[in-house]
Amino acid sequence: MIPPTEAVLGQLRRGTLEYAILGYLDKAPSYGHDIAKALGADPILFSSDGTLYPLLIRLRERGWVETYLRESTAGPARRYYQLTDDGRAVLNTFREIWASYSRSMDDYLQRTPV
Amino acid sequence: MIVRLSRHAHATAYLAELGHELAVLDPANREEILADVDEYIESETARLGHPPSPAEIDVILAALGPPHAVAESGVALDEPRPATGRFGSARRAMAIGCTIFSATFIPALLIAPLTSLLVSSAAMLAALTGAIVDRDNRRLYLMGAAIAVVGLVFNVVLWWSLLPAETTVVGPSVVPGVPLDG
Repeated sequence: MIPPTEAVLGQLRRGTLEYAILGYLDKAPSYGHDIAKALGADPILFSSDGTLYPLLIRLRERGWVETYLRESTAGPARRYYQLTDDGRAVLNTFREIWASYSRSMDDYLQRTPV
Repeated sequence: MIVRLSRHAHATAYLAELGHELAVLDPANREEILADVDEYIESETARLGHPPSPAEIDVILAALGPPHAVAESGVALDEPRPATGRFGSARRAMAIGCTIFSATFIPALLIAPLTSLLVSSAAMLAALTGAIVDRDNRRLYLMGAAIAVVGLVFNVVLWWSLLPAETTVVGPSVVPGVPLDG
């Protein structure tokens, strides 16, 4: 049986992790390892760094990010990800919705008896 | 399946297992994930500043997570993509409009049979173009093309039936010896 904490976290991550990635890329383009380390620093968001990479492909296929290769002094060329206009629009929409949604959830959770 | 090799034996085994777990994916997506994970491993080992021991490689692989967990988030990649994005709903509306346009060959008949033929031809072109360009709404466009084909066939049959059974040339009759104006 999956521990309740992991079950709940898993559901939340499935619904929101892509937007966290978009939010990180909103600051500047970045490559997979850097994104994984930044988001993975918070264990609430990420359970394992490897799950990032399929999500990045999903974002690319939706047209929310685009990729390009940049030469690296540390080794082979790195694949960089950056937001597209569509990705930025989706991120802004999520920001608006998230503010209302989290407020509503907080209100409801405080009202619900333990 | 080509096995991705790493400079580190444990990493090679990890990538092989991950490649096996990702076998259900589109090959291009699978190779991209493997390349990115390989790059992650190389970046982490470079940060160590010294050749990594097997134990250090295992720590890096543990941070990546088990291959089946990585693959599980990738399996959902092959789900049908929603028509999202700034123009998502507009594209869908265009596809629906094209399908409805195809069906207007029927009321166009009330105007003139030629109009109906033109509508069906235009609808067919629009639907085929849409099916090629807009993968997300391909099914709708193909439905419109099918309706346009029905319209074209209907018009061809209609035009064929309008042709007279015999063709008669009407003109001055020429009789030898009789002037035409007499």
